Amino acid sequence: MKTVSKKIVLLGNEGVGKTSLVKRYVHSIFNDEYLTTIGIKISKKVVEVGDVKVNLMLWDIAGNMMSKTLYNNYLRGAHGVFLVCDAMRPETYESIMNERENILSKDFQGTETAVIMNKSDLITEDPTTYLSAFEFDFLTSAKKGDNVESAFIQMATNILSK
Amino acid sequence: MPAEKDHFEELRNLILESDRENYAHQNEQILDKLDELEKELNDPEKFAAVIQQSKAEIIDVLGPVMGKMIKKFISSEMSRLKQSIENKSKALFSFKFFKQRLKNKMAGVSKGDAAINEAVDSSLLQIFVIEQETGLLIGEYSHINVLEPDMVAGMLSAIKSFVESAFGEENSELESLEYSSYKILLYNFNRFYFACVMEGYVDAETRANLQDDFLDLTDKTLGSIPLKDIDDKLKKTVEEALIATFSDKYLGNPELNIGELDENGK
Repeated sequence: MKTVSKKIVLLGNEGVGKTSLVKRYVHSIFNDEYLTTIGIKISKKVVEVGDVKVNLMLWDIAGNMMSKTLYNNYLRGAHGVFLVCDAMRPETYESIMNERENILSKDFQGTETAVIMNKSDLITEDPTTYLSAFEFDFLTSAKKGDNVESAFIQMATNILSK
Repeated sequence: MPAEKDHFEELRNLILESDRENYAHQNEQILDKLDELEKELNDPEKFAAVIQQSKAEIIDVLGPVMGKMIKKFISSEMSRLKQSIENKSKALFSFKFFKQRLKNKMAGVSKGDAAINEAVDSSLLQIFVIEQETGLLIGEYSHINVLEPDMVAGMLSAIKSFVESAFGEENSELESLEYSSYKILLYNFNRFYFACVMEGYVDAETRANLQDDFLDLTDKTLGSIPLKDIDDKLKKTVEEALIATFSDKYLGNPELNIGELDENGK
């Protein structure tokens, strides 16, 4: 089976659950202290797309790094970007949409992007009505594990098909 | 018609005569100036004067390029000199030196061999080749098992990126990281960089030798490989190139002792 490596960056405000998404489903040898010291932690997720094994190298960028010059460097060369927001905090959705508009659509045009609306387990209203105001690619719950795996696989598939 | 033509010819001569004279004069001036310039360029003293006059412009053009090269060369040579002085002064006043000399004399060991044996040990534990842009591992060569080289490569790139953004000057690059007795030397190239995990004391000579090896490796193999898709085929190519370059030199013993590379100490 052929193996390829791809760089994926996770962006989103503090507390939206990026690290939880990564923690539960991927393998890491580094502890979370790196997130507070240099603002990043690297993990690895291996998925299979057809007959290709894809090593997704996940760059989890600390939420408080959003809109800082430094994080542009972390984004360099990314094949895919997950923009993660918290379903219960609409301002985090606005924030990632701004990132997409101001940075990704300008400097990273060839990069595959996907919006993850996380913490679906906290939605108490009718999800269809509640979520109608947002545009997203995956509705996930890091806590319950809903859709997380499929988000990674879909991202890998999209990157490979480019 | 002929009469009209004559008048026209006469008129043209009258009007253009002065122009022709002017042109001839200007041409002469230009040719004189060119002769003068040619003489200046062929005359070392005059050429020096021209350079002297345009010193500022020349420095502006060549300065950044040459400056970097000179700075690097001087700093490397100073480091080697410092190292050599330190080693000699330590050796000259050590009890070990007198003891070893006596021992060598009795055993019939030459000074050259003794010097090689006394060389300070430094072991090359692992080499990573990492793409600059993505931080993805392109290839790795190691004598020991290291956990998740993919993730180590990513984290190294993240740290490198962090240091260069936070503290680096323009166009400056992180060249080494130190931890306890380990040192990670980074050799930067345009599309990728090499990270060498070393243990022990790494002297300037060792650094320079590694740099030569990486320059050679890049020139012969890695410089021309396409990095569009980082897959196992590419990794295999890179790893074979690393083995071809380093196995003979650094895998002579299980500790990859660089201090005992060859008879020239390289």
